[in-house]
Amino acid sequence: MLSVTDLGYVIDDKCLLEGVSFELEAGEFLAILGANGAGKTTLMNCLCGLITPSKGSVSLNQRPLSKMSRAEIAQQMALVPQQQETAFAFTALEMVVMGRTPFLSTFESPSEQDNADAKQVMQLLDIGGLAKRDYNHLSGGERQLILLARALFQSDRLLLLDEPTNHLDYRNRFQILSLVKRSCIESNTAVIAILHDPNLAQLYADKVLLLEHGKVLNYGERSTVMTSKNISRLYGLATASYRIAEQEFFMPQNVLGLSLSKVLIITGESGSGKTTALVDFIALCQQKHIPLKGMLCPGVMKDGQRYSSDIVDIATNERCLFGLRTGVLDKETGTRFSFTEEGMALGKQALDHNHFHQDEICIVDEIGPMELSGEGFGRHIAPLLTVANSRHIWVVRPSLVERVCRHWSLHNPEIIDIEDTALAEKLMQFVRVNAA
Amino acid sequence: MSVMVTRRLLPIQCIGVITATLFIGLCAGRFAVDPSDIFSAIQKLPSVLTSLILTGLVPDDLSQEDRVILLIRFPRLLTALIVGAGLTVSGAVYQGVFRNPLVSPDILGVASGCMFGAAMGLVLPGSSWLMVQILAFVCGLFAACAAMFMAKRFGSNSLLLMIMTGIIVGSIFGSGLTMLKALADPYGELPAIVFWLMGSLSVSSWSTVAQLAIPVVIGYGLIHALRYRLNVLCLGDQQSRSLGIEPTRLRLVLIVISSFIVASCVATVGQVAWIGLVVPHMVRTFTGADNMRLIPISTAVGALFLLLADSVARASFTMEIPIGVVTSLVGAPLFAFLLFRFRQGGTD
Repeated sequence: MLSVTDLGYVIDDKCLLEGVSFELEAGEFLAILGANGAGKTTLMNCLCGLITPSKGSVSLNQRPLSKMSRAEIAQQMALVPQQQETAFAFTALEMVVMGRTPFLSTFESPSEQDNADAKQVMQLLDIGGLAKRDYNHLSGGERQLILLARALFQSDRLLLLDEPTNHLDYRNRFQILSLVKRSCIESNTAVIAILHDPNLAQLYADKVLLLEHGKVLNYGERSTVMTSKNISRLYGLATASYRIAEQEFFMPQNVLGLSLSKVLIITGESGSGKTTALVDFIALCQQKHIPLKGMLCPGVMKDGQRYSSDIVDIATNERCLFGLRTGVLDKETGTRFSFTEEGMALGKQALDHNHFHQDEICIVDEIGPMELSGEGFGRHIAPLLTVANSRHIWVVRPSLVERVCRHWSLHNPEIIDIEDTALAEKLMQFVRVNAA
Repeated sequence: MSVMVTRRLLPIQCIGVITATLFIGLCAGRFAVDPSDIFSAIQKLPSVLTSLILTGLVPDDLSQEDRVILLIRFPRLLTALIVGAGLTVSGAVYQGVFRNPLVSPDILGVASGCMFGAAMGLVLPGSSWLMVQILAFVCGLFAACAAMFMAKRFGSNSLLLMIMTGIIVGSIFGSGLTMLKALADPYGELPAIVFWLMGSLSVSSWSTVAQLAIPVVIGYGLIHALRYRLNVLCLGDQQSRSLGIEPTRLRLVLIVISSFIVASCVATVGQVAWIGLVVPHMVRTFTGADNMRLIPISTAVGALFLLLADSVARASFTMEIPIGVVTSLVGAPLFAFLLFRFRQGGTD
């Protein structure tokens, strides 16, 4: 039905989409999830041909959109836009009838038959009574239903829904998506919906696509994509899963007052030997056969300040150059370092939540301002916290300790100063006691 | 006024009302005419028109009443109808295209351009009346094109930007007009410019009717045929595209047609304020936003409005009041009333 290959969109040297590919068959419901600014709406606009992608292609029934006229696309693909007031007071029926537009020639207008058909669609959605009402005077839920009716009247082959549950109350949220799902089942409609609530995706979607910074983080069948680790990773928020009536749902851990893992923070000024202490500790653990995961950033000091830094994957002992001091404050990273791609990749490998399991121990050296603003490894940390009985040792400079605790909603983490003479003992106790 | 009744108001009813008003308009005026004279005069209309078209001369056998009715009042009333219709339909289109019920036809600086052009024609030595009109028309269209071109060069299709470039162009032509007034001979040209700016139908003849009817009728025909698409355009670019309509092209076509109509109207009779803003706005309160009804009905109502305004302008006082004054004096309070009612009882 719809196939998207290697889609990319670049504007003003900013890459908003890169390498997005997926397939959709008739009757399937695809949910697109992503944090704000992840490129969901850009993707939607590329899909319905509102903007021309800079790379890749979108094909509808084996025909590329770029070779189809606007009306031809609209005859098969209907959009339910985010609702907004119209400048003029159209009636609800007039709004719904406009779904016929792509089938009309330039000088044609909808016939009586079209009006009757539109009314019938409205009746199917139980909104027949709204036909004569002024669209601008309807409630958010009613407007959304009108837009849905228009889209279904336009085409029941492929529906695009742009955040359909915005402004809707609890009941309407389920109602609108149930109607969409019904169309999937009864009319074999393919659906792509941008959703903000992972639980709604969990309830209605067949496939899920997770989008981050314009790239696909994960895509596939709902059951494989929708895990609490993936959700935590996507939003950078430690999320727990729970079951109601055989169905898995998601909720942020801190809201539930849950903490599945323990965190120990080592703090101390730059150059106070935090990394060195950890190197010694890791060696000690290796002697005692205590497995560790995570990353370490040993730095090279010059004139009393960090000059460059390597990155080490503790589990595999791989090592490469990570950061170099440039002396210029980079506005994007908020640091005076430039980072190598190789180093970033190694760090992401070391913190990969897919390889982090129950009872394991993860070291992160160190959590800085970049991570706090969701850049760097910021989003990789939350999914690690969802692992049951896992322990985490983080290196944080003193000025950031409080912000780090707030950002990851840590409940009473153990905080140890680097000057603490019993540091090594306390670390050993932390990894051992919990293991018991 | 009940919504259900007025929503069924048909263009045919409007035409009936217009014909009746036309009849009264032919009777009214400083030169008293008996209603029976009108019937006898109208019977002579075909022969007069044929003679005018073929030979350019008026038949000799016309009585004084016939001459007043057929050669003065009738073309003047028709001019009023056409200008009223033209300004209103373009107002309705501009409002739809800009998705703003408070837009008037001079939003892109068309009227300012026309006024500048006309003033230039009046100041330049030896320009004929036709030259003045041509200059007004060309400058009006140039102003609209300049505003649209500027908006496009600024790199965005945003409607707001187009309104702003319209203001820029309008104010440039406005200052040009002031400059021309300052340069004009204060005893001959300046009064001519001032009177032209006030707007008047007093110089209307059958040739005026012909020269107006062609662009306005053709323009209206196109708009009438495209009026359903205008509905979709009112929803904004994203929704238009997803409903299979390319908004930028349709918008351009509609703006060009309506600017053409406005330029022909303003170039012929001078500035007639308010009608293009108030009438579509007023009609919308009882037809609803659907352009399928709004376009034909507001066109008819606009024609009627200017016909009445002109009858008032020429028949109510011993001196003729400028038509722009009448439309503003009636239009502005009417607009205030609509706003008041809007606040009081919701939108319908």
